[in-house]
Amino acid sequence: VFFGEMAEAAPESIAMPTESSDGSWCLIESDPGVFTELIRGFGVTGAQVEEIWTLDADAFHHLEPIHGLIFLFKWVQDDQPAGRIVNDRKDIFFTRQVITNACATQALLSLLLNLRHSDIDLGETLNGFKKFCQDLDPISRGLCLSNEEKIRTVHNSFARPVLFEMEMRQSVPDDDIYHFVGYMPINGHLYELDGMQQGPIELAEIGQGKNWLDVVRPIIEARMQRYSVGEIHFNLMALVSDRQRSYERQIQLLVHQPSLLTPEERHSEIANLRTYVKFEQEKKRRYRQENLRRRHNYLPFIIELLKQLGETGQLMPIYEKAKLRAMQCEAAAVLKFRQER
Amino acid sequence: MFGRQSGLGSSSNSSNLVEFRAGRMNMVGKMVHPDSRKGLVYMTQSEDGLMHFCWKDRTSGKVEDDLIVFPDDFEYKRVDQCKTGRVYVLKFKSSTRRMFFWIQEPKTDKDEEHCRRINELLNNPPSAHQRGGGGSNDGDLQYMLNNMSQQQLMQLFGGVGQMGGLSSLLGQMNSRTPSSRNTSSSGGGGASALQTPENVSVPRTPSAPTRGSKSGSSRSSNANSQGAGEAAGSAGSSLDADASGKNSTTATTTASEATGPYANPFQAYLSNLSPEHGAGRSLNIDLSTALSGSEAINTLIADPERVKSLIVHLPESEDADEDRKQQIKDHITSPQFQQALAHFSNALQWAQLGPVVKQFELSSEAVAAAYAGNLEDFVKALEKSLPAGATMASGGEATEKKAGSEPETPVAVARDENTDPAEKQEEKQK
Repeated sequence: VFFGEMAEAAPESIAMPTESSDGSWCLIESDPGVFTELIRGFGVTGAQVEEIWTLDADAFHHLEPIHGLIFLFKWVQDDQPAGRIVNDRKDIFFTRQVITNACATQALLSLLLNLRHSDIDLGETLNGFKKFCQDLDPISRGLCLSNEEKIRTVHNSFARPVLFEMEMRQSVPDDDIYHFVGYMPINGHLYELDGMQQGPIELAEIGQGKNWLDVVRPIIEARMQRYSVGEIHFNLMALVSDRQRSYERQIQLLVHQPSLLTPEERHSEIANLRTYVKFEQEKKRRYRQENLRRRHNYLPFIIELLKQLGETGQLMPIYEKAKLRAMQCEAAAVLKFRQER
Repeated sequence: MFGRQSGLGSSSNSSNLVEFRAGRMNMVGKMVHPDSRKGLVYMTQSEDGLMHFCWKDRTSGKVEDDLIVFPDDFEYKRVDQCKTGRVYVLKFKSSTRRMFFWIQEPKTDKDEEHCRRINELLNNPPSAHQRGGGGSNDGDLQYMLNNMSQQQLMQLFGGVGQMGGLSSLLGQMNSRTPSSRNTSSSGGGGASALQTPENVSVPRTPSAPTRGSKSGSSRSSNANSQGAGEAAGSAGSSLDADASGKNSTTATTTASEATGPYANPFQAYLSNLSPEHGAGRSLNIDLSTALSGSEAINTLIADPERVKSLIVHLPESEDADEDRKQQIKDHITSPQFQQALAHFSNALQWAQLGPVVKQFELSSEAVAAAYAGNLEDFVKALEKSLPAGATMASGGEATEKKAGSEPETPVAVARDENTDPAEKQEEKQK
């Protein structure tokens, strides 16, 4: 029986030491596969999360409708709110963040709980939570969330299993904290939803008939620019409708409805869409596989593998190679450090 | 073992470790535009052992991108934002720089394999030539650094933004030619940036490279092993804690006087990094950095008995028909496994795994090494293990190793009895 804590963090997620387990929230990775499975775990249907590399309009177009964006970055203390904080809005479900490790779930929920789109069904758990907290203030909502067992259980199921008990934290704790912030349009205005702020931040008005992405793009680009200059790590993710469904719907439309396209064009388009569907199915399979691996306790496998490598006389060369790598990395770090001083 | 491309005609270079047809995408401002030229993405290893990631224009034959890639600095992964999924990005972990490529191979069947191969090569390059026996690692590193051009070193250790500091560092390195060797005391001899190692022994994690992804698969975005960052971070701090005494005495010697067999003080300093004494604690050695892509795994899984004993410890595959050998390989190259192994390596070196290791049927020497936090001795102990079949799930039973299966030979495994495991082992080996 192995139990205990994993002291080090997965990269690109919040690098804080985990607390002891009971009623607490574990560190999870900020990975689109994790987030997609996470929201499904909450009972949400019709949505998924995609990682965004470029805000170029063309690259975005096929992902639409984009329900919200999540910006992940290393938290910088001096960040001033980019707009005015609105506290009194009944139509915005805002939750203050009270648990650090729950950051990812918090950001996802801040988008989901403000969504009203026919593609997405929040499911029983989230609808129930929203209803329960509707009339509470943001901090109370945050506290309710931290105590919401169903949500917490799903969140924690994405943490990696603890392999063994540790007496001490072997790694130097990373003092950097990562943070998630949501962007979404609500009733004709663009908001930044950040659980660390006092309330939703109103950024801009979205004119009639205007695509909210055109409004948010320069704002996020400016932020990315600022962060690039300082070489601060960030990630951008989009909450979108289930793409497989969307492609399948499009196929259905093409098959069953009269279209302006020629038969050849129609065939070609259907073939394309079928490829995209396959790709999405493959992606889902990949996510499931990754989650399976995330949850698996590899300790017995590791021991067996090392044992076998030892028996076949292959372990020492591997060790030597690893030692060389370590030295190379050390040398690199040393030089990097010197430059930064 | 390496993805050799046949049938590419004159553009194929048989010494490339991996290659496939792909075009570039250029980032102009905030937009990413595909470059329509026919190209080739490939990786090679130069004579000095360095890995190169290159892009060549197939029409003109010109190599337009030639990056030196150092383990754990880069990650290569598919861009899911793209509909058809044949766009990949080479992501620089220590900066926000990215390079995008779109696959030009007519068939899609090897896309994932190429992606995996690239990541393996990025992070686990084939070993540079060994120079002699056990002490050769220093030699390798120095040979490598010795043979890097100034430009390569700059690429290796920083970017354009950091040129100022590095060029001054290199300038000082160059100025310490053999002719300037003297045995003056630390006071004289002109201090250079290559100063006392004690100044250097403080790379705290925030300034060390952030832990990056080690991608074993195409989709392995963020799930990464400890790798370099952790090595740098904790190595830095343990240099501080463990070796500061050692460093301060050598400080004066390396800073100013004759650098002995080394061409410059920096190399002299690096030689001090090799763990002569202690349990290799000045370096954090991560076994996962050397495992993936190694022939060793293939050797193991060639034996069906071994496959059986290994697969028992893996989760059931979604696909019942999935080839077990491939399953094992896929797990081993997965970032999740690599992270677990990195964690294991780390924990063992920090003497955290004594009680854990004890619960498996390993030799008493292995257990003792675990208690002592000595990874090298642990490896040695495993190499002395019983021959195949003796300790494995023999008879094909699918039993998982459980806690409580104590080793039969009486062994002092309680912590306080293992005060001198090194001694104990020496005795046993004699």
